[in-house]
Amino acid sequence: MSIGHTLLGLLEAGPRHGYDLKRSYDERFGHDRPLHYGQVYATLSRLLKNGLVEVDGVTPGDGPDRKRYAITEAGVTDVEHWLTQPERPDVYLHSGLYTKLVIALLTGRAAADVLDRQRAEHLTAMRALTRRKTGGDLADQLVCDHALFHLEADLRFLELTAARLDALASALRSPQADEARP
Amino acid sequence: MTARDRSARAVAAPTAPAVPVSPAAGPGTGPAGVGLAAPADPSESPGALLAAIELHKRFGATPALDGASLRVDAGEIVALMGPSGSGKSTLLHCLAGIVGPDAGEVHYGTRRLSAMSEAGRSALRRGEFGFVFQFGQLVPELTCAENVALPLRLGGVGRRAARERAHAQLARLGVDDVAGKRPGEVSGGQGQRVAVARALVSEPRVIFADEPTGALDSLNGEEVMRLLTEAARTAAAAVVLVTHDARVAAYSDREVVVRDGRTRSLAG
Amino acid sequence: MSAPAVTRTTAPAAGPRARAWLVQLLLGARLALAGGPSAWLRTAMTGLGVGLGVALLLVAASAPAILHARHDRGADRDASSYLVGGPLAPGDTTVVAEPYETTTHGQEVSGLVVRPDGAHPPVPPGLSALPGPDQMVVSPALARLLDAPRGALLAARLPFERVGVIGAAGLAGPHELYVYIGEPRDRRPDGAPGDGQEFRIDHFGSPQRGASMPAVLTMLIIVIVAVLLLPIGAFTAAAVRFGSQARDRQLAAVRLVGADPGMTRRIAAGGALAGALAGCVAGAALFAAGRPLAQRVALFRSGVFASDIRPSPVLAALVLVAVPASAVAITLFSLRRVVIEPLGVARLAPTTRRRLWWRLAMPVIGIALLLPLHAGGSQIFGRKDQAQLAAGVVLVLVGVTVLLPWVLDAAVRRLGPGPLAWQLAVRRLQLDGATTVRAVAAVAVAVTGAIALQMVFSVVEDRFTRDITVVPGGRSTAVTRLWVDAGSPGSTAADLGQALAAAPAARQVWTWASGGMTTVDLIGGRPADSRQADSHLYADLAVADCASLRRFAALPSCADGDAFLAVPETATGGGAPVVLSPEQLTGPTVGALMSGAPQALPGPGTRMIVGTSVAGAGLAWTIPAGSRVVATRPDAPVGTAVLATPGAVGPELLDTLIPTGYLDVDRHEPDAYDQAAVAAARVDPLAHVLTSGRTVVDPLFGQIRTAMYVGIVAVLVMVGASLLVTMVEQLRERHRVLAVLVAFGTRRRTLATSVLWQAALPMVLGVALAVGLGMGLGAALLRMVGLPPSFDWTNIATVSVATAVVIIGTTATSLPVLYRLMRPDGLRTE
Repeated sequence: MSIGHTLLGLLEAGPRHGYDLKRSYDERFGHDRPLHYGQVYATLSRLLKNGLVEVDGVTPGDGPDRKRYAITEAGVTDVEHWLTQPERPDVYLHSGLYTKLVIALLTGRAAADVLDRQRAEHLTAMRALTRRKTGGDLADQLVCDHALFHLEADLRFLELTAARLDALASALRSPQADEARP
Repeated sequence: MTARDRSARAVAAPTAPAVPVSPAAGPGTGPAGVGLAAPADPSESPGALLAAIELHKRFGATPALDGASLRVDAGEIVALMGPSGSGKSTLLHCLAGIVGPDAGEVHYGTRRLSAMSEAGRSALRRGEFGFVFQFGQLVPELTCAENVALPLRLGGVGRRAARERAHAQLARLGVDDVAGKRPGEVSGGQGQRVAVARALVSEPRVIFADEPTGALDSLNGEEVMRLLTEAARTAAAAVVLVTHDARVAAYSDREVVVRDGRTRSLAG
Repeated sequence: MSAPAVTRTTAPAAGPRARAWLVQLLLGARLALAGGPSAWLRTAMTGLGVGLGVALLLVAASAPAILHARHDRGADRDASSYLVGGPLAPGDTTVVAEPYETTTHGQEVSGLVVRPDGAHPPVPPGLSALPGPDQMVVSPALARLLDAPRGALLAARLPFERVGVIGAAGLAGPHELYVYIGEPRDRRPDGAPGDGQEFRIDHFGSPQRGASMPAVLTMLIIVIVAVLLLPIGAFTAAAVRFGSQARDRQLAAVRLVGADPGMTRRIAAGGALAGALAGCVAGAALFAAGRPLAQRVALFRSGVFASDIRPSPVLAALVLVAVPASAVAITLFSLRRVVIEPLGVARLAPTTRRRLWWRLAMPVIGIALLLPLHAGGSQIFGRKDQAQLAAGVVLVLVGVTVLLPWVLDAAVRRLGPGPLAWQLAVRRLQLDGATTVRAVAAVAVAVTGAIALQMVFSVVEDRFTRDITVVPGGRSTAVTRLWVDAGSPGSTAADLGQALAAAPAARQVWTWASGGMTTVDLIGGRPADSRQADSHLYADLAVADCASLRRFAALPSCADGDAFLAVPETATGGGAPVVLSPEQLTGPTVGALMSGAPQALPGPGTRMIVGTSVAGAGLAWTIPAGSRVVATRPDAPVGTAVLATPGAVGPELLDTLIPTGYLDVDRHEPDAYDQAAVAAARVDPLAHVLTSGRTVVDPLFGQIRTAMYVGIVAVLVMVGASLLVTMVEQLRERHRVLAVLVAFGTRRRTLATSVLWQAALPMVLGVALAVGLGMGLGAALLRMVGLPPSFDWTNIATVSVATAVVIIGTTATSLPVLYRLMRPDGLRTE
């Protein structure tokens, strides 16, 4: 996730101090990892240097939180540009799950067990997310859904793999047969 | 076989899913994860509301159930998961007394379903069970309110009382505005909510839900699951939920995996 | 090899558009025929239904040919040419003929007694030569009857040598009982005047055509045709739409692969055409197969020759074109309310409520058309009257079919909530009652017509029966009075009395020798050369011994040679009959004397001429002086007449009289008529035995009634079958809902009862409407004949029971399907 663009987006609603920005960010996006102040100010100064934000006003006093930042025209254009760029789909070709499955099969262990235990683990996590979602506000719902869909995708992969177990097993165990084929 | 057992132990530690949520978050921590260690023999837990012991069932030459066991405690939401054709729907039908198993027993409280007459099982389904299916379950010529009143009227409740309770139930699920409409005139989400209302209206002790969100989009599916589980928890009704969808199963307290007609027991 | 070439050369000529249409029609036909077992069954049902309709329509199209052929053959053997032109003199080519009519077991036997005057008499069609004396030629059906045990009573009075069989050319139908009898040589003394029924002809056949039918019969025929054809039409219409729901789903699948709505309609039309054409083939086959069978059935009494059942080419072509065309039209019409989308079928809810006024207007206008008509008495129906009657009846019957959907709609909408089974059925009918209504409409039309016809039949029949059974002057209705007159000499009257009295069924017998006589002098004594027939006074003469005469009238004393002037004790019409002396008869006061008197008798001393036959000149007789006026008994067969003992007339005159008998027989004795006829035949084999209302209405009505019952039952069964198809189709469509209902713990009984209601509600409503309108129609028809309405509750009960049987049968037959569909398999996701 691009912190710079996120902060720019938050600033589009109106000029703010750095501290407000950090709080807004944490509220909406920082569930697991709150931003460090340093990171916020580093990002803001980079944006300032690039002309995407400007200092709207300075509050007299001590501390780093004296400046109020506002988004510039260029900044708005940048946010717009960022939103129109699709996110690159993350491709997990070598997840730990896959590795475990292949190893289980290669060593003649029960891959179904791996799958079932993994499913149980996933579901435990999903249950927690679901509970939080049903009790939470819109932001909670959105973030939990996002996580749930990813977990579900894992599980779908597991189900599919389970269905392919036999084929996979025979393919892994007879590489010679594959090579012998012209 | 011993090699497999060993290997099962060797890879027993599952990878923790990378979820940015603390597991303790949220209210009402259910007996999550019980499914893993759930005892296959329900006799070990005498307090079970509903228990299936070693069920076998064939349709012609195809075995649908091949030694499935399960227990459901009162007020518990259990998800039956598994690939298509694994026998999870058949297990649900056996648990509900719709289908009689070839071998094995289903206990409901202290009663043995196989020892009951068809009429007795029908009466049980009318009075103690509720049902939600994937689609096509509402009687098309009856209005939504009449559909909801159906289980009550089947159970001998008077027309007026049944209508009032049906309307109240529809209101609870937020679909009282479609009460006078026929199922063909309402959206899929509304229809499924009406179905949930119908399953709940007779205040059943067990609700059987077979892919209740299967014909709905994600948002409507979420909404129906939320309403169903909330209402079931409020009424302290157990839910047996057949689904292949993990997000739906996540509304359960625990899941039981059915594969090749057997319930998976990892502890064994 | 040549087939593709033909296609290639013709298709472009027809144009690519027409070719595409043809392809779509053929695709529809293929879907209808090859769309799996259920589609095949659907098409077969449609084919069978349409086939039955087509076969019956072809029979109807043959009606003109049947009637024409019968009429032509009837005219060819007609012996009434003597009516045209003056009387013929006996010659080499003339024959004296006399109609022969009798009845056995309620079947009418007719024929002609012939006595050739010379060596070259005319020969009627179907015969090679006239039978000689004491010989007869019989129709094949009569020959079979005479040989059978039940013909024994008939054979006893036809003791003639059978010399041949009448060919088909001389018969109205294969079952006609007809006979040509050569008059026995010694039947009557030469020159005897005979009984006045004989006539002399020199050829058979009459150019006379279009003999008018009594209006009542015309009315009945028009009503029957309308009553039979309309249910056929309604059923055919329903048959075309068998399985339309399954077809709609099939069409949706066709749309999914890219057919546009127009193409879909043409594909549907193709399917309907396939069913209708199959129906036409099946109908033609049924017709061809049924034709020989039809000859075996004694329809219209004498039956119909298979060769006569020839559909008129124009009408047959019309049937074979109109049926497929209507099938397509009905299909397209039914698709009007159906939107077939690629992913399913939507039925447009009727946007407006069914309107009542035009539906109600049809039967009302129909009845209004019937009310001004009058068919009583001997009135003849003109073309305008016939058209008005047909239009009225058709409007009432069609009114049933158009009223029924409204009635069902209105009734079902108002039906209150009830038990669950009731609720399910009512809601089902509210949602989609149209399919059921179509099937029920056919039965409603049939029942309406049947009830109306039955009402007319039972009343008309009742009237005829009353005519027969009421003994003139008598009070007992337990007896039927038969009238016998023989062609033998009058002196055999006593023998006739003995023979008749010996019949087991006889309760009371009167016999005498009867004759008519006229005064020699003219009334008022005007010149004797007056040719005015009515200027002579006519009187009946009854000759019998004193014992018999005492039973006619109260005689103060009687000896052979006496004569009496009998007048009824209580004269009808006011005033007593007047007895005129010869002086009064010729005197100037006769007019004043006769006016006001119902009848006048010539008094003693009046000179009479006895014998009215054209065959003889008659014999002179004078009413003996001293003949007393006596009172006729109320139950006697003779009213105002001159009674004479044999001695008073002399043997010569006696033998010119006709032996006559009245015979009261037990009404409930089925063979009474045959017994009397056999008894009379001992005196004269050709004696006439008549009942007073001998229209032989009974067997005809019986047949029509049977045919109607068979027709109604057939229609009911067909409707039951189509209801069953509809119901099973609906059940199949709802197998998932059924399974869910079972999961909810619904009892079998609840669902079975619901199915029963679903069949019963429309049927009961339909039959109720039909009974109501049928009784209205029947009352209107009876009014036409001038009879008060009378409702035959037995018929209504019969129809109701038959309806109930169909409802229960349909439900019972669909229950196995229901129970099979109630198994939890329906819950399994497809």
